[in-house]
Amino acid sequence: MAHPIAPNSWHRNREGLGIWEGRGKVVATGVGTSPTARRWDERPETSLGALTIIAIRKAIEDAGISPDEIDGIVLTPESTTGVSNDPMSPAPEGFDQVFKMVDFPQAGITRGDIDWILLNMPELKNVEFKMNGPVCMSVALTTAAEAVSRGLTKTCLVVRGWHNLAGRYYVGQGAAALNTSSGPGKYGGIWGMPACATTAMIFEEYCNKYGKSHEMMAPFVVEERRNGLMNPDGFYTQHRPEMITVDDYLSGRWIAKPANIYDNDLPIQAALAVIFTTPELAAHHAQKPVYILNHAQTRPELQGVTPTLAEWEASSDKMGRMLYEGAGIGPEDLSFEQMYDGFTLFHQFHLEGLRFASRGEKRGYALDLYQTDISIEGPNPVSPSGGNSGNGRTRWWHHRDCILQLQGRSPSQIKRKAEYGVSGAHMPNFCDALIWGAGPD
Amino acid sequence: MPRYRNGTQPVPFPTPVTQPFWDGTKQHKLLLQKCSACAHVFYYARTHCPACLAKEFEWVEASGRGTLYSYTVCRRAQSPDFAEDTPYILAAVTLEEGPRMSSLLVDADPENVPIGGPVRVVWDDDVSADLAMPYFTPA
Repeated sequence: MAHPIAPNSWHRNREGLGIWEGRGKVVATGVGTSPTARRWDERPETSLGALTIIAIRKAIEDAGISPDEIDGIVLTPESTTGVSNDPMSPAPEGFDQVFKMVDFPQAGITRGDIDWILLNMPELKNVEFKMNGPVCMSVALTTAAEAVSRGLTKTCLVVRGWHNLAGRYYVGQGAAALNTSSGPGKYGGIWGMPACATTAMIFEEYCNKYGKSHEMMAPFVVEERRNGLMNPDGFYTQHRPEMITVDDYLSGRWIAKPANIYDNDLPIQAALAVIFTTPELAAHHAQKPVYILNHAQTRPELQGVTPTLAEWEASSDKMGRMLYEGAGIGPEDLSFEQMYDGFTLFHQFHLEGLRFASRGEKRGYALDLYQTDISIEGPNPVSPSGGNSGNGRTRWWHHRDCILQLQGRSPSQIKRKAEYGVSGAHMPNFCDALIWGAGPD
Repeated sequence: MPRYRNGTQPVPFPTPVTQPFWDGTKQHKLLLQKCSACAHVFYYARTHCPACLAKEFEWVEASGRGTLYSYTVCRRAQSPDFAEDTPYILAAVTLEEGPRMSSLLVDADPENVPIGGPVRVVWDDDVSADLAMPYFTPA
């Protein structure tokens, strides 16, 4: 069954809205993360659905509450950004022996589904509020924040899982696997643009404008891997616990120069569940509440087929202004920065839009900042979670770690006092982002 | 005419809106839309002017000259169709008439591609009986 998405009136997508009405009325407490895998091995117990159930049960346990208390779910149904099975493709043999099935067989395999979750988690018997947060966990998080602040749900699960089947991620996986880009996809692919090409072009433009170079990205990418390897739930920690060096990065093979293999995040299987509730109800949760102080959205306003540097800068600047206005804080208040990084080459657009660690600079300073101490021990922690680059493609490690940092229990806990954080995804001109606080003010 | 690609090239699939553009390529004409109301020139093909939303426009032939706005050198093919072509240079070109378009930069050194440098259109006829592909090369 299709569930609604947030109405436009819930979006905070323009300046001048003032302090967010929900500020201090919504908190995050429990966090649950599934095991990771590079690809699905086609066993029911390692499927997207199974991982989602694991994550939800861990989040509830982490919060120290009863499943009876959950009265809402916001879920991101899309579980890949690549090309995958048609929703009506049959499930592998045996899947229906382990899980109850809904009206389309790919639920729990290549697509998340609220009804599938409820059917297979009978302990969630009081869920009344159901809403989808499409495309990205960041959309699910901002949707759930609004829903709790409006009293539509009191204790809400926010969920996103990822699958990764055999096959080429952007060409076709599973039943959609093709040897060529024939079919409907061929028109868009006539120039042969890989996924990172647009980002690579705009990064090249950025370097040309500000006199920077790709080599200057190395400290950031290396630091992200270091931070990711502190996370016991991350893909690299669990499956490839190998640190990378600046030389590794500089010798990484090009995908679409100036984007190399390390600038592209690794598709994986994983699921995350987070619990949002009210400050009053959080009083009996096991974990310290982390307050959501504001959220905001940007959407593309393209002038041509592909975005430009100017458009990305304008959009991420607007995001920074909207976030600070609604939260009532400024860039100097941020204890750390956790904007999206997959691809790594657009992370600095987010960072500069927020003016994080700016000494008065507006643009063109992030790669210089990367040459300073951006570690978790330093004064300006950048992406302390390690993000997608350090943990695998989920678009949610950085959100998750904002909660953990402000609860004081991140595996890569920053050394300075964690009071305010920011996270958002995905593109610099298509982003949902949140300001998180250790307290309500 | 030269062929700039080696692989099994995906062929564009014109729609009623884009058909005049692709018909023009067969005659080596790079056609753009010009708004009859505000004179805005735009690419890609659309049913209305993106500047003033007027629905009346004419097709005008571009000079085929422009400057390189940005680029990326693709070394990992987007799909197997492009595998034999790597490395190839994906380009964003600002046309003399104003619009910006995506294409490939051909007959250029991937290690020495000047952003802001002049480029001109060249045509690949060995794609389809119905159209030619517009690429760009340093001028």
